[in-house]
Amino acid sequence: MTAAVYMAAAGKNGIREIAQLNHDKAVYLKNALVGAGFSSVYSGAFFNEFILKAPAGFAAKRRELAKKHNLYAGVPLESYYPDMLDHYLFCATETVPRQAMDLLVKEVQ
Amino acid sequence: MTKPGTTGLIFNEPELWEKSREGRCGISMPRSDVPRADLDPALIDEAPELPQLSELDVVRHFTRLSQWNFCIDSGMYPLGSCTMKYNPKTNEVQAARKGFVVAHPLAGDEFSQGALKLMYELEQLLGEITGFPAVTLQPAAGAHGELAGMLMIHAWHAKQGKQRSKILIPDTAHGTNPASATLCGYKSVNIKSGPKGILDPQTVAEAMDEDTAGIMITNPNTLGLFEENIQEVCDIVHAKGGLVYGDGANMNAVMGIIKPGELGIDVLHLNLHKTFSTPHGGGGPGSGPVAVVQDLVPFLPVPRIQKENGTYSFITDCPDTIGRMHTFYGHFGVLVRAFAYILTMGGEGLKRASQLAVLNANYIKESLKTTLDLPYDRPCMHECVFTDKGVQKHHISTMDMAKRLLDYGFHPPTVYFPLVVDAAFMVEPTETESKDDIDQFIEAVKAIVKEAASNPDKLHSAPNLPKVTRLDEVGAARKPCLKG
Repeated sequence: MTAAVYMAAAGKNGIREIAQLNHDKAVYLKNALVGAGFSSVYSGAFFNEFILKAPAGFAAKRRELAKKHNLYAGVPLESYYPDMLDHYLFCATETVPRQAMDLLVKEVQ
Repeated sequence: MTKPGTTGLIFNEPELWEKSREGRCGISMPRSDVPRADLDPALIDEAPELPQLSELDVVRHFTRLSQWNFCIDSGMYPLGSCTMKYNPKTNEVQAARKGFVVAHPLAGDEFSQGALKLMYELEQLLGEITGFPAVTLQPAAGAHGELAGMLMIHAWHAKQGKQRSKILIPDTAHGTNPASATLCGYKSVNIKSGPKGILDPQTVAEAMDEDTAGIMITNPNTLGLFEENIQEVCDIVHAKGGLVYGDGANMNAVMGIIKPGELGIDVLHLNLHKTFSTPHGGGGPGSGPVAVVQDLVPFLPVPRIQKENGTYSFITDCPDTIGRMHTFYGHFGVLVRAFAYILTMGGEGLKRASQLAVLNANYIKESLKTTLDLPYDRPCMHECVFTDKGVQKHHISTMDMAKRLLDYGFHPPTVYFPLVVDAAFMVEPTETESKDDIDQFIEAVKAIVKEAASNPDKLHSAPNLPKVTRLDEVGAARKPCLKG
């Protein structure tokens, strides 16, 4: 029901624009995090989710970000893929403002 | 008294694509605050052919469609076995709280303490209501809960070293019970209820043997009657090494009055969407928590929730578990509604709800038993079952009476179920209808039975007032048309 109303409201052009915004934000966040010391893991195309390897000390920083800024930075992948220690799945959608992404990058630098 | 059903303006509404106009969009797009990043053109296709509509187009479309439906907010909905009761709006407000709505299932225990605490405490509350030491909230709805419960019974027998092949199911059990047992590899053995409409322990004793895994009992049963011999039946099944599955879909009749766990039931599912305040018109989502006795705790689905030093976490290290029954942790929004409902009602409130549900059903039974045929004339629980025996001489059926009720402004009761009664007309008023509304319903049924004798064609052609009149149900079943 919710999905039907959402698709009707967004429509053909709206859904396309939302998709573009998702990708724009995800590319911005990925580039910014790589600039802050994270490592890109895959080189293929992505939409709004991507995996990065975090620098040392990120796990503690991540907890602090949640407490201090209500900012939930990435899903740790180790419990799903044991060989992916320090790897995180990030996502940015049309709902995430640049300000929040900039804050994350500033905090992890 | 004015009958609620009347004529009125009903709007036609085309399909969304018919209203579509190039360039319209019903939402305000977030402003872009980052540089555009184009995808490889080889990966991009045309935009999906969604309709292009203004916000008002969308609002009118779905509002009009909603007005084609009968709902509990517009009228009495006495659909037996479905418990279409009014659900307080405050529970919708609690479920819509931002902290719950935006909680992410992958956020991890440390970021989800509120949600985990709610689930942990709801398990305790449901355990207290039903009399069991442990509960899982995972199953998606009633029949899914049955499957979870039967998988645990199956796993328990396997652990004892000898699997069994059969399961006893009375003819007054819910129709989903045999399906759930079959999915676990059990062969269903049908048990006939006695002349009073309830199980005769002797019949169970004759059927129960050491190749039978147990029995699945719906209590109150689908005739709306309480299984008075439940403890004796449990003893018989246990004596042969079997387990007792309790279908608690009708728990709304006995909350605060009995605890199934204290009667000898080993596994019980509840329908939160029936008993504990979730609107379930439109197909869900539902929620079918399962409560178990201590011996079955090791078999509960994972993850389970534990509380240690005031902190809540998921545990998965349970070697005998039947595994996962649902992605993530069940239908969380339904759990919030149930939690809010139980806390606002309190123990006394829940008991009062059950008492009123039973009182209302008995009031209808007594008020209509000289108007309609009543096959089991004895105190009922939350629903009562009539038949069309008295009006058949006018060539009027249960279906004709049900359809005519729509013209009077009432949703029809459940018809032709339970199967144990011919042409059943099964009324469940629930605790939330006032005496005034119930009296209106009773008067409507009496008027319809009079019409059956004086003007039977009025019933044959009914309903006349709804947007869609009598549907060709046989045609729809035999030659279904699945597109517009």
